[in-house]
Amino acid sequence: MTHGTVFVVDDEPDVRDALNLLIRSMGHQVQTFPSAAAFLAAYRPEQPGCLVLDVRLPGMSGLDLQQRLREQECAIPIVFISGHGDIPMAVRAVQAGAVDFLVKPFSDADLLDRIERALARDRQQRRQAAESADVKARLERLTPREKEVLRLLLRGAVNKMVARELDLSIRTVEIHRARILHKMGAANVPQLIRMVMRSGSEREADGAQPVPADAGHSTVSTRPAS
Amino acid sequence: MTARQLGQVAISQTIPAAAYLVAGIIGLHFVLPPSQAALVWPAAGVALGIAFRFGLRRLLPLAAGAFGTALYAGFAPFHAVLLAASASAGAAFGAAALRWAAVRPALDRLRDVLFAVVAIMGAAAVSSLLIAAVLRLAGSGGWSGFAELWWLCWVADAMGALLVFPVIASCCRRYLWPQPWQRRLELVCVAIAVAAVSWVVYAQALPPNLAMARPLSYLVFPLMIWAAVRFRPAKVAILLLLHGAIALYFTRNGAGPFAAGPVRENLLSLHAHLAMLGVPVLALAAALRERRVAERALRDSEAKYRLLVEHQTELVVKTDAGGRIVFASPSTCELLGVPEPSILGRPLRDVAASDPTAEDACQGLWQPPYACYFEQQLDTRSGRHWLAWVAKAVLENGAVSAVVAVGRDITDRRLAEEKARRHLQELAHVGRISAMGEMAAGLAHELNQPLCAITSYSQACLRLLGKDADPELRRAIERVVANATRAAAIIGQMRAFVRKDSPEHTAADVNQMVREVAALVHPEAYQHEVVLELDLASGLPPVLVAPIQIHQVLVNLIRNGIEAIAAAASPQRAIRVRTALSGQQVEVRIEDSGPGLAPGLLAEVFEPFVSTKAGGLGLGLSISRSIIEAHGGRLFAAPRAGGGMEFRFSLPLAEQLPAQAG
Repeated sequence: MTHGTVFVVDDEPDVRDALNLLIRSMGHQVQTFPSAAAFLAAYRPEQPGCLVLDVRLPGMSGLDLQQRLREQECAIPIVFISGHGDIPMAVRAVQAGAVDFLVKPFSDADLLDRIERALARDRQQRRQAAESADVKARLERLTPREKEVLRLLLRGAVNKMVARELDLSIRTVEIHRARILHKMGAANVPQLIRMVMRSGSEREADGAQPVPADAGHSTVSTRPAS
Repeated sequence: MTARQLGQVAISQTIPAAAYLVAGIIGLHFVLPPSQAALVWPAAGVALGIAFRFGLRRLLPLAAGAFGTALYAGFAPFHAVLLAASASAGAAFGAAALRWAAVRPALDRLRDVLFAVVAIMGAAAVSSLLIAAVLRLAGSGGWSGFAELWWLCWVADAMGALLVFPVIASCCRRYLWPQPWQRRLELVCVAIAVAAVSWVVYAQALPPNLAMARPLSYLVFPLMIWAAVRFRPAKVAILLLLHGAIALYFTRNGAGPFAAGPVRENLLSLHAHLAMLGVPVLALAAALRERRVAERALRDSEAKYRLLVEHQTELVVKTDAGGRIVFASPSTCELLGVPEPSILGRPLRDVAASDPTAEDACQGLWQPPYACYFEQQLDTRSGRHWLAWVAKAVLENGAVSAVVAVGRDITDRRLAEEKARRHLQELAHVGRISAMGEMAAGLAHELNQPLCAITSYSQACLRLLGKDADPELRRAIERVVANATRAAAIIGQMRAFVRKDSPEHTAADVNQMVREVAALVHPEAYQHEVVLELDLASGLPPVLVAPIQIHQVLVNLIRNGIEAIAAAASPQRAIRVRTALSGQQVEVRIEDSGPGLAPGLLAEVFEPFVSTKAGGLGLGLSISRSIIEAHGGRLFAAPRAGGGMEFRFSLPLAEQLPAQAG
């Protein structure tokens, strides 16, 4: 079971230890930290996993940490835990993208459920990121002419319209299209469109404007899978 | 000396001489040969009057006038010099005596008139003695009959002075002519009446059978008394001179009610008559004038005090020893909404002082310190008022004869105090609720941590044990989890119960709240000699808050600062509160010049039950942070650059500001 580590940040040693034990007993890998700063120092974004985060921490609070991670465009899913049943705070946390907000003490089933949801989200985000990186790499392999054809195809044009627009013969368009499908690894045009759309690379596929330098990162941002 | 000054000197020297000369020539008409003495000598009055009124410097021209008169009468220059010296000596003596007695020239006091009469007789005694001696020296009669001559001279000098001196002494241009025209008319009428009566009586103008001779001479008395009652002594003196001149003239010529015997006897009788008329009438005029002046002074003084009392906003009430109102100022009547006559004579307790505290306080009026102070609430027609009374007893021979009470309407002050007190109570109430809530929250947090550990450990145990562990063991651990969960639920309910009420949020002005709190904590700051400085940004948009809660936060933070400064006996004793707009929030900073906090404490300063103060609950900052966070703001603590602490909190605006360009 190596689809992610559960990072626990809580200032209370016993709670930390108990959660470590409990989550390990559920069959997950666990790392614990006594403070937000300790977590930030140790965590590398490429590590898959999720964060079980106490809201109220000395120094940087849980909400502050959430904010900081967001600023760093690190999309690790967060499950908040708190000794305070503070509703406005919970709302704020969830609005800022937290998976959920659990009030201490909580049942192991609830915790397990939230952890698994968080890990699933993490996996999906990473897969999506990987996919879109892959699609992007393939798009790079297309020739300028093929990109132009793709752009028109994405706009829903049929071969004849593409041919007229680009002043090509229909035959040539068909050849381009077959090449594109081949290079992109798609079975047919609808699948191709889905692939490009999902990876969020349609603007690159548009090809007319130069691609912004950081656009590659934005595809890894915290867009929920749903 | 300029020409003008020379002229003045000439006038001031010439007039006395001329006046004496004229009076002397008139007097010479009353010399009855073979005697060399005149029977009335008005020049004596001229000399005394001028010497008294214008100073002894005028003696020289007077003496010159006397010298001229004596030469005119046919005396040898040597004797004339002696006569002039004698007349001057009498005038000098009389004038000096009058000055010494501080007689006022207006003769408007009884004592002035009496002193003047005495001085006239004294001056006449001196001058007549010397003149009689000179006359004997000049004449050939030898020294027999000297006493009689002296006596005649004295009578003549005294009579002349009595008629002329008051006129010269008292007449003054300023009040000779009375003001309104009716009084002038009256004066003229009296003068005409006196002249007419004198003429009719003394010139024997009436048919002989109607002239009843001597009794008619009393006809002038009522007129003179009328004048004495109505006019100043100066005018009475003029009328007396008028009457005397007419009477003397006709009597000298052998007519009038006194013309029964030889002229000499007739004139002496007339003198007695004139003296009996003149002295009492002048005395009466002076006495009445004196009384009028005193009355006016009293009236003025009364008016002054009445003005003081009636134009006071303070309420002034006077009661007699029995507590019955004898005076109530207009302000009092206005406040009570009743006219003064309707409360005069009523007991004070009908109007005020009817409550027990006031009655207790009033006991102090009847024994030392014979004064009292009390405040009372009074329902009047103009509404409910708070009055503060200061009352003082007036003592006469050790017994209370009256009570003077001064009241002040302190309604505004009382209302303000009451409002402040209510506000404080409200604040205290909110403070208690918040403290309870915070305590519950803190307790919940503190207990939830171990409960969380318990359940987590137990649940981990269950998982580690697996399905086929000892059922008893599993059940026991399940019970641990269930009970820990129940404990957490109880704590949660308690919190929910305490947290139930949350005050209404309204748009409020931060600066206004800061000012209100500054006023609230001012006494405490003052007591600890801490200066509160407010540095408030103008034009701040309103924030959406529960004002009473923000008050509480401000009070907590400022009071903490004051206590920190007081406890550390800091040399710099100031707390600065600043407000400023920061993005879409209003930021409030509270900086103190206290000792600040140890770095280790800074991290946990907002934790509940953490306090640096002896006996502190450690909830103030924790509550403050909860309140600020509930408002959607943040509260931070940081050490201040120059020592001390800075607390900073932000509050969201009631309405978003439009985004600024750039």
